[in-house]
Amino acid sequence: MATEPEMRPHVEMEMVAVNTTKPLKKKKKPRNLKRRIVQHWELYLFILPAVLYFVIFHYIPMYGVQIAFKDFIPSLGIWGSPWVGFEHFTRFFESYYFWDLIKNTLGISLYSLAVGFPLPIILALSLNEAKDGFFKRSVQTVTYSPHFISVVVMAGMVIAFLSPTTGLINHIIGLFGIDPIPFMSDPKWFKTVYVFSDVWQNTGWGTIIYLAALAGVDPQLHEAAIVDGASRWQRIWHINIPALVPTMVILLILNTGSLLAVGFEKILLLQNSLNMESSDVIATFVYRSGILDAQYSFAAAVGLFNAVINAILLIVVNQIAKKRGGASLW
Amino acid sequence: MIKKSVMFFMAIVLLLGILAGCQSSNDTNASKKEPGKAFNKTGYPIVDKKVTMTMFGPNVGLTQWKDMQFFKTMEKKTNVHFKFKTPPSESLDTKKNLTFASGDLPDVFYGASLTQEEQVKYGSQGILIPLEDLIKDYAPHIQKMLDEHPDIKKAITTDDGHIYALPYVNQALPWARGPMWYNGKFLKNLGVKELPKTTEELYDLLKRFKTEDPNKNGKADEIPLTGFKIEDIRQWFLGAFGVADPKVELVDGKVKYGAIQPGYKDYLVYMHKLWKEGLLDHETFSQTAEQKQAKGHDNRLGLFADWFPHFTLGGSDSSTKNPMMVPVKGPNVDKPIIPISSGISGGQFAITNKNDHPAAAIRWADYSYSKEGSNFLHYGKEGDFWKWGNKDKNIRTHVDPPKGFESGEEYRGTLTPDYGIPVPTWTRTEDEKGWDDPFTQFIYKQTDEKIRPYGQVPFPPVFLKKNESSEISRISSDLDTYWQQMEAKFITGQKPISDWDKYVKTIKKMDVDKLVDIYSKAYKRYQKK
Amino acid sequence: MVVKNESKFDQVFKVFNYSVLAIALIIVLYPLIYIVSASISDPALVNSGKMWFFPKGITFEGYKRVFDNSEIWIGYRNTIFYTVLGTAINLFVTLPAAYALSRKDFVGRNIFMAMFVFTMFFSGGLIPTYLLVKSLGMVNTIWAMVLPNAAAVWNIIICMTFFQVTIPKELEEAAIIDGCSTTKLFFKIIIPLSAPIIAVMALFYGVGHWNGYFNALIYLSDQNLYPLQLVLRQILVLQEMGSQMTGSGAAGAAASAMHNKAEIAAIIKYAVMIISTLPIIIIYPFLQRFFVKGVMIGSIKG
Repeated sequence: MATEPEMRPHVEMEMVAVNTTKPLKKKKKPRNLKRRIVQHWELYLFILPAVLYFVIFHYIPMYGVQIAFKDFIPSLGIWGSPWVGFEHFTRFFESYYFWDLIKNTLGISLYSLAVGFPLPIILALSLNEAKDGFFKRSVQTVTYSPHFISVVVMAGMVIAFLSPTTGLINHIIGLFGIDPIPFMSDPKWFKTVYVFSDVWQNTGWGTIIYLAALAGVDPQLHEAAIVDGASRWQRIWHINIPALVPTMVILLILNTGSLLAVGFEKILLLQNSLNMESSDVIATFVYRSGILDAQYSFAAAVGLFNAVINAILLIVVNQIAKKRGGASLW
Repeated sequence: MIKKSVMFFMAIVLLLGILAGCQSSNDTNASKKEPGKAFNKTGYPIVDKKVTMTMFGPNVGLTQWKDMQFFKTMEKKTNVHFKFKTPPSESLDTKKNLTFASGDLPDVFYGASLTQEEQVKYGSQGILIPLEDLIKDYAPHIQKMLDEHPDIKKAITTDDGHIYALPYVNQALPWARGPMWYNGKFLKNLGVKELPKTTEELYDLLKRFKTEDPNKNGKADEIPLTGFKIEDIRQWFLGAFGVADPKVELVDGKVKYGAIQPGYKDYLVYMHKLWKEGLLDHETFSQTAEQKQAKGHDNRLGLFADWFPHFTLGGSDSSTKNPMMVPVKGPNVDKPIIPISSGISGGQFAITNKNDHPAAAIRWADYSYSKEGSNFLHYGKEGDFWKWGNKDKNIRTHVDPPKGFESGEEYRGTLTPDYGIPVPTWTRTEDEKGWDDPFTQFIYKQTDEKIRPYGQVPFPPVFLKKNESSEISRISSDLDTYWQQMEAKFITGQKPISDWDKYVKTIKKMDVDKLVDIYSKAYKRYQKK
Repeated sequence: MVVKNESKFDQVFKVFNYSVLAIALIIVLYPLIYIVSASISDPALVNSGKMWFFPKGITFEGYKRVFDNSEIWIGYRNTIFYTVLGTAINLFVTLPAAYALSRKDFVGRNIFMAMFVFTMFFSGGLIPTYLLVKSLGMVNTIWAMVLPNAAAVWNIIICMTFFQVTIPKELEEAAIIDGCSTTKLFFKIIIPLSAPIIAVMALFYGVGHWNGYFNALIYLSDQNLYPLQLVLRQILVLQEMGSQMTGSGAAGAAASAMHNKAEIAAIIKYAVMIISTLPIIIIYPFLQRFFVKGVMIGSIKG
């Protein structure tokens, strides 16, 4: 087989720029610092709108966090409600289902990540190899569309397609002489149903960001590689994939920061008392025991617990990414 | 680095928090405000000069409240003008909670189904004002209802003796949920003369539904019994074994937890038998309401629950050929129980402390509790939706809806808010029964024969104290999840019934005794009222 | 020889690649066809599983019902307005901030980053946010629809990563040596170079506005300001309730009302979805031209 394609100098530099995002100089001297601040004063202007936005709409209301430690009474307001310490947290931790909830939440998250994370990358690379034209545009648009199907309709379709008697999937399975599988009433199947319906709905949508990143690859790199006799596969492996790595790493970091944040709406719609043992997650638990009774404090406490765990996960993964020299948030 | 920035943020957060904390607190005025000078204690208009109030209620999406005939006519009559805040009814709870929590209150809550907990909570905080004195002074029709029906008064009076919200009262049909119906065609094709009266007879009939091709299509595609989730059909079968409710119930004057009673075990055994033999639809736990309905439209169902049989089976609105199930009785009980509704739905009209004209508001609401007002709210004025068939006998007939409306009901939904939501009114049973169509008569006859003699309200509407209700919600959030899961497992055979003792033990561990104890105390307080 | 072998390998690869895409297309296309067919089929046949590909019992009742509803059009108008205005604000906030954060020589970068990321996890919750919006006088105005979500941390980070990866550092350095100001650099070079990410951001934010209903639910009470999604939710409201009514003492008339409502909802459910999402699906092929290879280089030269 052919050896690594030889790169031209300027091309190599580009590759370096792609692969490392480490700052070149780490030591800062105070005088130098001041000069740099003054020199880049416009950058502060650039970030000002965002800072204003986050301060006004996120940091000012942040005092609401305290209701997790309070017994929130509307007429007394957030500040006037009495403190109860960790009562709401204890209630959550002492729940009979606490460990089941954690297990299911993490299970669904990790399963989603394992299946749902690589697929958009593969589809994006694959689309990138197709010639521009009607076919490519069709695949792109069609795979993108399911993202907009509402959760209610989606859940209805999942249940209908998977019905043991009238569902299409079981008809197809039946052609191979396999007995109908009760997907919705067997707890073993719940996570698979959830994850794959998600994959089906969101893979095309997930490719968008990767397609944009691929559009940023300099075509000269490919031209040079072709001249050097690199196969398509080699060009994907040595040019396209490295170009996607920083985006992949960042998305991975962001995703680990939301491992406990599995949304409740779709799960609630697919949930029934038979698959409950594998379908009940933190969000559905809170929904059931909190929101409907206006138990703001309890919901806030669970939310805070989630946030702390998620934040820790994100920081840890970010540090790992940083140590390994890849892209990182800071 | 991280530590530093975290500290930095904590500082910012604290600072901003303190700044934002300087908000004014709610003023909790005296509950009773002086009626305005131009207020008329009797007669109409209620106020000589127009007053404006804000009203909060759920919109079911047919038309905006401000365009409804009911509110327009009432405004002309009373001089009370409303500004409406009407979130979509499915999001009512979100918006209602926010309304209370943010202190951004309307003058009145209308049809917003304030729970008992909300009434106690916001009543004791002074957000909702007590109505009993206002009723005494200005609302003769409501007063009359409370005097004539002590049960209604008991149901809406909190333990501290206050009434914070007015109810929707409609006792014409005491159904707690859609009853069970037989498919009339199946019965006819099998030549069934008498409906089953015991669980054994019912089992035999369901067996015949399955094996004797009652829909005559030559295929064994019949589903003898189905439900959209088990709660669809649970109550009629629980009642056969002497249990009124799987949660807290009042049987023979004693507070019990249904899901650990021996009768409940009998129910599980029986349902498991139906499941095992394919008499109970194996999609009961997982299907959608539409899928169940589709099976009915295909004429595959023998016995099912729905509000009216044609909702599931399709076909004519007025078919009286599908009889209601006769309550069956298990081997160990003398008489089956059918859980019924008290017909009182509290929390439908409340006045907040923001309201400057509470007396005018209560008078405005009072009209809907008079016979005339209740009919106007419910049916609109003569000629729109109905006309007299026989006025002396109090019989109405429907009139055709105007162009652009599918049905009279849909048209009615644009005239009045009393459509799909409970509203503050007192519907008279004789008016509800007073329609000339045979279907209405059929429904009432079936109900009088098959439900009323066995009916029992599972548990009276007791009020809980604040710490009680938070304790209940703590206990029941785990408990409900557990017994519902186990019910499904026992019925489908994923867990053998020999695990029953273990199951009861787990439930006891989940503080069920404490829950029963709290409800017993609350019930005692209720009895004393 | 080597070249020939490889081109054979390439051909196999090409066939393989197109098969993968074709399979993806079929897997996704089928449910979409199902939805389109369902939108013009008799709901009873859809629910019983008899309609599984081609429409059955064709009826346009669903579409008729939706289009008869005048509020739909008001909702459409509002949604388009919120989407355009909201997305413009989003881009105005996101792009400069993301660019600033992408610069390693930006002093305080990590502090700003931490400040933004912190809000991904911790928030004051619904009530304080509502009170804030209220005290800013934005309740029941269009501003409540576009300002409380003027930026998303997630998008800022993605955008920042894109700038870091694709903007050659030499370019920035050269520009600075030439005495070009940061603002000029940003507008003359960075923005034209970043068509793909701007398209992605516009799409992400735009779709968010298009599908959003929660802010409308919380902050708006004037129905004439309702966006499409909230209007649609109202139409579909009672869908599941018909068979779940419990103990409210609802009488027969109310039950019939709910049942009718549920039947109507069953008919229009699919039509509603198609009508409400068609615009954003149609717009996508137009955005795709920004994802085409070489678009960056072209813009530098142009």
